Amino acid sequence: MDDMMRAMDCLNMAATLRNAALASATCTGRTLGEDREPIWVEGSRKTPEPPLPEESPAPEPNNEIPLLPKIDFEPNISCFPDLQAINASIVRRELEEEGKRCVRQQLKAIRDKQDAMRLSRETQQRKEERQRDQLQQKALRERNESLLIQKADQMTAAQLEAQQREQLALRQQIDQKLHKLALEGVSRCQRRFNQKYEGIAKILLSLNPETVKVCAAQNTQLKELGQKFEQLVSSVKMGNCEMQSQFLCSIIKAEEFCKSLDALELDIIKQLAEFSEQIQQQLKMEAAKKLEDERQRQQQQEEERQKLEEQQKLEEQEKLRKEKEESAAKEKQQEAETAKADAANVPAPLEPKSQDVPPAATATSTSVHPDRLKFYNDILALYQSKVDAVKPLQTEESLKQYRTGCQRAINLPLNAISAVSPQHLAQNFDKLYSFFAGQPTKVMNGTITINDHPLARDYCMLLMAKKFVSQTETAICSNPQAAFPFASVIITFWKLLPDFGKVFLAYMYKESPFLVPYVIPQQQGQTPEQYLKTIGYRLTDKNELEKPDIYLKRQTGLARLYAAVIISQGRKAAGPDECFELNEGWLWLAHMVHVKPLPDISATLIMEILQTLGFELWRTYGKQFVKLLVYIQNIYMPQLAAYDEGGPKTRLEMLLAKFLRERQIAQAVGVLPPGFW
Amino acid sequence: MGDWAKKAEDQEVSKLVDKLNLDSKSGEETDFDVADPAETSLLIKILGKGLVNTKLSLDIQQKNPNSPLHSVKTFEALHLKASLLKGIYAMGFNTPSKIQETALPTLLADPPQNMIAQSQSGTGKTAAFVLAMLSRVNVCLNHPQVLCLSPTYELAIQTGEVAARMGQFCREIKLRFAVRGEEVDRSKKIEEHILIGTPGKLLDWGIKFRLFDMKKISVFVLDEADVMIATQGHHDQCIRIHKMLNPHCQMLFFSATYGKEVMDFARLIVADPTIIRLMREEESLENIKQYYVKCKNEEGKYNAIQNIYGCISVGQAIIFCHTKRTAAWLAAKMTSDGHSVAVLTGDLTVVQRLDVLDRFRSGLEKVLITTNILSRGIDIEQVTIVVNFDLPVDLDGMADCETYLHRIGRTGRFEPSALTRNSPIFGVKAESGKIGKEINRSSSGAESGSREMPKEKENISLLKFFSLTGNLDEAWDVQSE
Repeated sequence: MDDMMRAMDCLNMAATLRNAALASATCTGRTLGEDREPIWVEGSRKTPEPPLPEESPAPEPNNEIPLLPKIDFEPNISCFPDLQAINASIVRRELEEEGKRCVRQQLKAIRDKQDAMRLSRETQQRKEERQRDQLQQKALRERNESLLIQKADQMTAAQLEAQQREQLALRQQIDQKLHKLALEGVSRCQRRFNQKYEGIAKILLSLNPETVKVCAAQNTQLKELGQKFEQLVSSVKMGNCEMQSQFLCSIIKAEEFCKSLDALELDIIKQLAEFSEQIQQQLKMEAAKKLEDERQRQQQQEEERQKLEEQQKLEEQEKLRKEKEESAAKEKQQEAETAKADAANVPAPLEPKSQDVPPAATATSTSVHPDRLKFYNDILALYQSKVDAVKPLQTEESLKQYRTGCQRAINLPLNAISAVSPQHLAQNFDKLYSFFAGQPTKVMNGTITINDHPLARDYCMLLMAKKFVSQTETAICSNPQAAFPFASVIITFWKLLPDFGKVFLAYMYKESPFLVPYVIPQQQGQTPEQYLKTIGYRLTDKNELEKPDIYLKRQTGLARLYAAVIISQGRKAAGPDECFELNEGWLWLAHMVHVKPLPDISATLIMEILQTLGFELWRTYGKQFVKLLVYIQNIYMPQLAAYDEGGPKTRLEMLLAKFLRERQIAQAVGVLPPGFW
Repeated sequence: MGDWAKKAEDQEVSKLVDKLNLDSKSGEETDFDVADPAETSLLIKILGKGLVNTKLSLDIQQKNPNSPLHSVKTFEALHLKASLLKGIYAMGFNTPSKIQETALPTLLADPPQNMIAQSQSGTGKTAAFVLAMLSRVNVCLNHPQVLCLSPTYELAIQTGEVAARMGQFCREIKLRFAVRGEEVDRSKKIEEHILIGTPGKLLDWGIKFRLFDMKKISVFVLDEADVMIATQGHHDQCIRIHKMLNPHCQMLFFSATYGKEVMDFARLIVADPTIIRLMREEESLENIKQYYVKCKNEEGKYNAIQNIYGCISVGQAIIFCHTKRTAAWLAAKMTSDGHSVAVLTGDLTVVQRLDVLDRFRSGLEKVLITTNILSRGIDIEQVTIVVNFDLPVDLDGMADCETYLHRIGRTGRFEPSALTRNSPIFGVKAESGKIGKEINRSSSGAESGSREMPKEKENISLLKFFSLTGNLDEAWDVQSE
């Protein structure tokens, strides 16, 4: 609708501009420029030219000449309330009024000339009256004189004739002037008429035949109007008009013809507008489609923006999480600093022996509790002292056969340990213990005793501890219940030989520092391979690092044996004395949830400890243990999730959920009943 | 009450073992045990709870060159449903095994691809195709969509148990056994999504009673194909079922062996398959230390075993003998020296064998003495040593190399320990022959490459030890730090 109105307004303004241009040219005598191309045909809407400046002010009509009719040019196109339409109509009115003013100026000029002629007539009449008075005075003189009167009469008659001749000449001159003015006015109207006529003709010729059919009636009227105007022009040229008023009538007719032509043009414009309205509707539909496409594009762009915003939000969340981690790390560092301060304050009881401990072990880190670190260092110190002590026996070539005999004496019964029956278990333990007690033992080439060498006892203690630990990777890691007969023998030896227990722990800690629990940090300049060795990884025959699954498997076996030793009671005959009790399991869990989590290994070890010790811990510690489980589930697991995802973490989650849902933990399979042997 | 019942059962098994000893004394020396294929597969299925890692390379033949075949190193990379992934982790898996990492992308591909896979039991192929079965089910459809054929009742139960464990968190997936003893309401259509059973039963349900539409099956799994073709009836039934299926059905074919008969049968069942098989030459040798010891007589062989137990850490051991008499003799001798020994021969029924193997797996008996009744070996992780007390020979007395590979044929789980798995062979001079030469060559190949000095020394010492003929003068030194 708006487009249609704009089109119509443009067309109307164009027409008005042409009228203004024609009027302006008529007033100033300048020629017009080239014809403008039809706007609606091109389909582009050009900005209308600004209105031309007024050539002269429009004077008011003179009331002294009431005889002349007023020519009133009213606009014949109704205005619409649209703002643009209102502006356009205002411009159009101004242009039309300007046109009217030009015509009025011409008419006024003509009237002024007529008035001038009338004034001259009146002046002449007055002169005539004055002359008549003079004649009357002369008549009086003729009465007084007979001769002078006759001469005076003759002179008067001559003067009258001369005056009459002058009047006729003036009248002829006036008529000629009027004729010229009429011709000029009509010619100007003709010029304007012809130009508009040609414009309309060009427009019609440039249109399609189908479009021309729409304007057939207007085309016919156009031709008739042209013919009438030509007749008018020819009649004016002949100069048949005898009366002065006919000149004015011809001018008025010319104006009427121009007016008719304007009306015809408007009519044609209407028809074309209606025709273009249909085209505009089609264009509107196409434009609407384009708009829809643009809207879709905008929607897609908005969606992309939303995605970008979401990504940015995620990035911000990650940044926040990292900041939280950094703050947590700072807190840990602060705790570590306080721990260092506490550790520094604690004096080292074994100062001379601690010098032998590797310097890495004494370095305080953020991943171990000071008490556990001290315990760890003490155990390693004892172990190292025993290793150093037995070196003479270890390296003496002549004692090789004796060493082999000791190995057989230990390996044969140890490899045969099984819970198949109490007698079987006791039998193999007795073989081991009697050997340590100094009893002779048969070997391939005879018999040996542990007393054959002063260092043999320590040597055999180290060997036996090492062999027990190696069972974690041959049997226990694949078969959890295999841990308990070994644990029962270990705990019995621990009671009988306290140093054996410490040496056993040393081997366990060397294979798995997490049992301390000690998350050994990576030193600067340490390669990944070197660091992984410190936490228990091994090299294969091809000097390759073992695979994580195999490493986890071995760690599982170590954790199982560690837990089994905690809850095993050993042989009845060894007595009720406790040397490695359930509180060790509690301590391990309590410290483990406060050291830095590592992927897979942390979840794996906690799972094994809970599965093996959970039943006893729950029974002994009750609600305290449940609180610890809830702590692990609600506080430790989110921390672990920041480092870990995969099988072990998922299984630990499921295990915790199961324990807390069922409010119990089943006893481990394979636990030897009290008093089994 | 339960404990008492268990102890009673243990006593029963012990009595059976005693009777076995008595009976075997009257047997002839040349009485060989012959293994039944179905029973062997069943034992392997039941005992193979863990997952054996393998370093073997896989031979992969693709029929569809446009299909991108890649390996997945983590289960997360498979983009499984969360409940399925949870089930996998609950079963104890952390990462895919060798055959799983290669097979799973094909099994789960879209559009579905057919597959023929040959791999030993214990390498994770059951878990692989069970995962595919569970993933393919559309729970909105209330009709069977997956068929899984097993040659025996027991093997079908084993597969179903794996499926139940893996799908324990996918409650909406329904599974049903089509095996003997399982009765079905013939007036009602079957609505479970997965059917696992034997060929005869599934034929009855699908064709005779028309309880489900074979054309609507989208996944067809044929497991233990090598055992299936050993029974002519099963062979025919499988072909009949196959002809009833929709051509667009995904066909999966699994076998533990790679004989010509199996592959011909496979190509008959599976169109345009991706074929994955373990390379035969590398099947058994990775991470297995093989040693050969010459001995003068049986007594010498026994002393060699004692030397092994006296030097290294041993978890559990399997010792293979020719005859029941040898097995009984060796068992008595080792028991008197303090070992806990179990004996498994053909005289026992399947149920009795299972009891023996259960006790062995739980670690009560740490030595298992057996005959060729377990010619394909069993997958018990804690077995760290396999002893061929008698060389494996066929009924004609010729060296049976394939049986030897099957006996030791599982890869070690723990690479770093040079002594994790050992396979000594004892034989008098007349018996060394072909196997000895092959083993020497393989062992030499296995030992090539650089090693750390301590391990090399350790290995060399052990070789010296085993090169002796019944007398021991040297021993492996304990390496203390």
